[in-house]
Amino acid sequence: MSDIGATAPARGGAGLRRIGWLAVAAVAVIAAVLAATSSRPPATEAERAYELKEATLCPVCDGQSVLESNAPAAAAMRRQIDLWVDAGRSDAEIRADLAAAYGDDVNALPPGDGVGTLVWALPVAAFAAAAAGLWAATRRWKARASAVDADSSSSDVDSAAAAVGAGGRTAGGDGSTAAGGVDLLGRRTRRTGWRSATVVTVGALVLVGAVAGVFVARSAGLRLSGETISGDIDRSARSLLVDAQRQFAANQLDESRATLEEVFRLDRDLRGALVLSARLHLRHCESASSQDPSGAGEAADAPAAGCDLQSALVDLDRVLADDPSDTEALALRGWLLVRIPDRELIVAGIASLDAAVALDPSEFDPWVFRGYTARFIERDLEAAIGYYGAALQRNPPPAMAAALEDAITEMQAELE
Amino acid sequence: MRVAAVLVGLAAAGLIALLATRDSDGGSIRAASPLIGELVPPLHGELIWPPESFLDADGAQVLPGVRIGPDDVARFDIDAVSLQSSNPRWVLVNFFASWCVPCEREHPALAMWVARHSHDGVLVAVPFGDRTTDAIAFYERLGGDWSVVDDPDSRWAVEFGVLRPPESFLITPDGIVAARWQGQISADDPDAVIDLLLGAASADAAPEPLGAP
Repeated sequence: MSDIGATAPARGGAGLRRIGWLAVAAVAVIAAVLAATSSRPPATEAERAYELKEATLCPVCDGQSVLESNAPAAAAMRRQIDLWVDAGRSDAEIRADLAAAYGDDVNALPPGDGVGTLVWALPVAAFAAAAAGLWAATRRWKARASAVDADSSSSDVDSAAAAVGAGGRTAGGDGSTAAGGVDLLGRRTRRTGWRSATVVTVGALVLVGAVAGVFVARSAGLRLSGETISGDIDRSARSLLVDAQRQFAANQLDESRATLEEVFRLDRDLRGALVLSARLHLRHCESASSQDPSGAGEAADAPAAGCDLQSALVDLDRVLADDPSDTEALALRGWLLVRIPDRELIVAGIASLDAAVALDPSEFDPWVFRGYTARFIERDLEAAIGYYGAALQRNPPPAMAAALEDAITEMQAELE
Repeated sequence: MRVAAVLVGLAAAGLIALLATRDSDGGSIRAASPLIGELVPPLHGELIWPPESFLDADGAQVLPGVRIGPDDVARFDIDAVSLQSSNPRWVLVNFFASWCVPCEREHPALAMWVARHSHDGVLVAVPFGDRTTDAIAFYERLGGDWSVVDDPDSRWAVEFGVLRPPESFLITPDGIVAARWQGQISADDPDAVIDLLLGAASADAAPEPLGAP
């Protein structure tokens, strides 16, 4: 009976400990899952704006976010956050701009660097330290217990009882009553003491793990937008379009086309996207006729990869069906048509350009296109000078302005 | 013990008396702002004051920084009076609201500042936390021959980090935000900073750190 009693608690302790570690692992996994789900990236731009407002403190009220406050300053910030989100700006950019105007204190989230790191790192560090400490403590208890098992003299039973007593005190449990026992009772004490020590260890680990897990989950959840956990946020068609336009401006045509395809998957009718699509087709055609990028009629002779005037026309016609007075689409359509060596299409193109110019747009493109047509297709230099002059008044980029001025001087010389 | 109680009571009474009789509109606070020393945020927008008839009487360019677009809408553009202009000026940006009493009280000071700086300064007022119609009514009542620019989306207010009206910002002719005041200002407040900066510039000394109260 006594032999069985000596080995069974050790085996039972090891089993319990294994269960304990399993429980800790389970808690860690659950906490990680909680963390990941609670910081689910915002599904819509409205949700993103909402979370940004929630994480921005009203600068004139105590402890209220701009989402909750009625102060004019908070209302102004809400409105601006909406507009910025709508313009496709990232959370980081928006937060940086707000901090630049109001100071860092408007950010409700502690920063991820400097002293702010402590807020994020401390709970995890505390969890790790607690786990390590408990592991070390159980190792010590185990060592003492096995020393007691190896030697069955009564004096060692006393020391085992004392050790259990120490373990019991740590847990604040019933160890003190067990430690008070003598000789025969000592073995019982050791057995129940071991069990209670393991239970306490497991319980403490589970508790610490759960608390730390919830803390990390909640603080990570407050980070918004899944910046650290879930990667990119879902993008709206409009913010993607901004990216595509940026790529187009940087002459990354393939990247721009790829982004544009994503836009079309989300919104097949976005006007800006259709216009950009037409521009992309046109750009491919222009780079096809490389030596003379503005050579009318030449592009259609040798179509290059991506040069698809037909698709460009379809895109533009869809825009114009929606809004017949879209000057950008009118101008592009006209520009596209006058470059096809077909009298009928050229006439239609000029009509389209005329319609664009008649709407007196503030962009310079339609005027440049119309001027080019007047100069090289209609051979009406006076009209061309007028159109180029109008383009010059509409703030073209410096290189374009210089080219236009040169062209005007050339034409004036030709006229004389 | 009794003496201590009496002393505390007297101190409390004194504090109450001080707070009760203190001049509540006790002027402006020169306030810190992350913007100070930075380039001014881009400022351009539609004019809601003065009314068009006023502009037409004296010609299109009567107000510095104001341009009439092809759509006949008058717009203020800080670039036209700042760095990129041939005649750069000091710009005082004043955020106000029709419901704000200190704004009404500081109005004569603004008029005085504009009169003083008809050649080297320009004042532009921006309604903040106010309806456009109320802001126009405020100026119709009090007058003012300087630009009032609409800020329907509170873009300017957020760019400048405005907390509550009135709030004023002084921008150097180089387009740098030099000072910020929260609360009612006098015409001398911006001028003190201008003198300080001009003095520092003429003495060719490093300008004193700005923004500290």
